[in-house]
Amino acid sequence: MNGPCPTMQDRIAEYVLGALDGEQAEALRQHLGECSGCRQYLESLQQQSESLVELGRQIDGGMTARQDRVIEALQGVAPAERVFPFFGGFVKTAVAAVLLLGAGITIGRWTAPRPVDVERLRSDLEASLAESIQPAVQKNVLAQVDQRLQAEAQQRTELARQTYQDLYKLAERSVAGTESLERLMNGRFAELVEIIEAGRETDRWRVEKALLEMKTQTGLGLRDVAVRVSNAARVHD
Amino acid sequence: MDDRSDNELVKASCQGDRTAYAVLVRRHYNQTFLICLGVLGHVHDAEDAAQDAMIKGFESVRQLRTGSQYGAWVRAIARNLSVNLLRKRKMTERALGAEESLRRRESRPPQDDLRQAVARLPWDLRLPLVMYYFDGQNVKTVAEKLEISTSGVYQKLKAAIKELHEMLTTQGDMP
Repeated sequence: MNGPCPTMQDRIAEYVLGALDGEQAEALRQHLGECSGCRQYLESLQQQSESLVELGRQIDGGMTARQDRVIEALQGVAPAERVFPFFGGFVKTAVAAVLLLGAGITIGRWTAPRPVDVERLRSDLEASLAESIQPAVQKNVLAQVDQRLQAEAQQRTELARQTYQDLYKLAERSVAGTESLERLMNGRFAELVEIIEAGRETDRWRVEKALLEMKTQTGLGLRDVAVRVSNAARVHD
Repeated sequence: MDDRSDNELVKASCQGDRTAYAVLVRRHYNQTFLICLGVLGHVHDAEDAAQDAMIKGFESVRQLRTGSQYGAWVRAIARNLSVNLLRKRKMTERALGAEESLRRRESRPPQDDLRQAVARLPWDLRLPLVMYYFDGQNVKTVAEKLEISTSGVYQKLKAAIKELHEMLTTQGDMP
């Protein structure tokens, strides 16, 4: 057989489905009168439609038996619970929540050793916090002081070197003899170093003392410092 | 014939009344089954899915807020169950391989050609086809139930009958 015109296949399918208006259907019928390929395609689709309806009838024939099987199967199924359709879920959930809450409170009261002392808990936490933070903060502050003193010491060493040279030049002009000059200068320089070291120790001792006083007089103040240092470190990170 | 409305029957079913639910089954089974057949394409699969949907409906009928919506509700359950079953079946077929699938097709009796061709359609084309030809619903009703336009239903039906024709004539057998 000659195939249908490719451009007419859709139109023929629409005709079979009854989707064409009068004018379109009439135009198609004119074409079908002239084209055997399209005519055969139409007949084939119409025959297929009839077969589909027949197949539907065959399948429909077993419906009552299928319904019987479903109803029989229902006998072994637990019935729906006796609740109102609309409020069922809500009421059930609410009741369950109340029961659970009540059970939780009861069990909690039975099993709890004693009521929680909030003030004591707070003071314990504060003490614990202070103990854990204070040494770390103190160490941190002292380390910073050491660093600063170290930097100052370097500057002082440079100053001492220059002072030593100045003293040497002065002594060279006023004192005769290399050996005595050397001894004199070493002595003076040792004194200078001692003075610098003593100053450094004094600085460090003052910082330690200040921290100690702050700790003994205002423990809260130190904790504030700790919190601020901690926050600052976090922001910096 | 029970004169009670779906709403009344649903209320009775909520109290565990199996007789009332049986009336709902008689009233709504056919269209539920055809939805399953439209999605799955095979009668036995559709029977299983429709039965599961009806039983699931009985178990969860208390979740239904409006009893008069029972028909649409149980059909939605059936459609979801069928689509899930179809997915699983496709996965199994993929696992079996195309060769086995071809062997099965070649070994079927010739009188089953149309039935098999319908089963081989994509389910989104098969479902409106089954509703239109098997259940005799008009295009407007099919469109409402599938929540698509009437022109969309015409497009799907047109594509379905053309594809069926193509499958059947390629095999050399006309229904």
